[in-house]
Amino acid sequence: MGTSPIRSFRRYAVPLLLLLVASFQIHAVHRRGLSSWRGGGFGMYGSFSPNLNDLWWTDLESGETRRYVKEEDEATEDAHRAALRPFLTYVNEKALREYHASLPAAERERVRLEVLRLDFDPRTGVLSRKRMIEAGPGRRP
Amino acid sequence: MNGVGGTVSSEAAGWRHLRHDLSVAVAVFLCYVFMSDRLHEALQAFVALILLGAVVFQDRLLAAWQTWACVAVTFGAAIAMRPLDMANHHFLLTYASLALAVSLSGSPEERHACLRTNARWLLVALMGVATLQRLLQPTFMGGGFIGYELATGGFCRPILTAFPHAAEIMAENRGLSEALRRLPPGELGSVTLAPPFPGFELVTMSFVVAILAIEAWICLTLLLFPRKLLPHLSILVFAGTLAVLRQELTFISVVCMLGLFGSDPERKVLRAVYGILGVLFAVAPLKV
Repeated sequence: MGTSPIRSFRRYAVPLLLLLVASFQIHAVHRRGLSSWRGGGFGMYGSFSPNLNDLWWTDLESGETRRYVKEEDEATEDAHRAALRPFLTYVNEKALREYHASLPAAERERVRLEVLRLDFDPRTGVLSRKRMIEAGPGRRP
Repeated sequence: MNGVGGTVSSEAAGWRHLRHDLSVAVAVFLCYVFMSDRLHEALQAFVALILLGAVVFQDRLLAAWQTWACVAVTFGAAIAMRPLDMANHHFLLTYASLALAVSLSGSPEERHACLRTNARWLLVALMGVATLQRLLQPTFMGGGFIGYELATGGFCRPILTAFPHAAEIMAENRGLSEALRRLPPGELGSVTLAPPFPGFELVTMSFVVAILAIEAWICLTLLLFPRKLLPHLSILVFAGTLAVLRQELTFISVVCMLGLFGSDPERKVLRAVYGILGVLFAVAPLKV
């Protein structure tokens, strides 16, 4: 019953792979805004689900607003939804700004994008919203 | 002759145990494949065909490492196609199929022991990572996430909905939450959720501590006493609690399947319990 490298590989390689993937996922959660629920890091039920994030598209000229949520009926999908949906899971301001910068110039000057999430205080029972990331004109306080 | 006879009967017993594990694995994987709406249809059909083939041609396919390697590759491909959409139990099933493939590629004498080691370390890694993730999340440690779930009926629904007053408050809280989310982003806004039961803050923080404690406990007991009954009893308590707390039935079935893989062959009752629970929790989402 020696311990050859192949034998050790058979026994420990898969758990090590789990740890490796989870390490990358934890790094992505804390450095790049990935939801702890996603990416195979087993961080579900550790934070608010990305399904509770809302991405708001605001036309500052007309005042029109659209809300994009994670599990929206695909029948109501508009041109932006497929591109914007990942930002609910991957809440990364740099990526959102890059996406905003890629919009046609006329749209870019009047459209504002922001991702909001819920926050709850169990002591007071107060449920509030927090702005996580934003891109576009008219930065809010 | 006795020695040869003993070897033959121990080999037969070894195969019997392994076949039990593999049969439960096939049931858990098949149920997931039929239930999942996130697997590409072609991948779904391919895995289903392989697993049904393993059911029909048990002697040739069930314990063949190639069978499980195909399942692992297919599940891995699904992750590669939609990495942010795949659930954590899909990742866990991928690791389980990989563990089956590498273990079964060894010699007949060591494959069951190899699967046992893989399963134990997978559970240690899973529970360790889950504990670490929660410790690193201020929303979890401060009780914000658990409190929100308890206040809106996301947790303990089967118990709390048995109390009409609590159920009514939770429904109102869900309405308030949705109304808040629909407010235009100009004003962030806030609402106050009513506690659905007395001692809400204390219960919330108790949940936070209990969840951390059970996951860390399973990780530690599996590390320190891998062959004792204690870690397995803890896993069964975890599975039962999770079934009441939040009906993550597929995840529970995969944990029970790994518990079965990780249990010693002489623990017949434990292995039977794991097998039954693994299959029951795998089948349950098909009915829900």
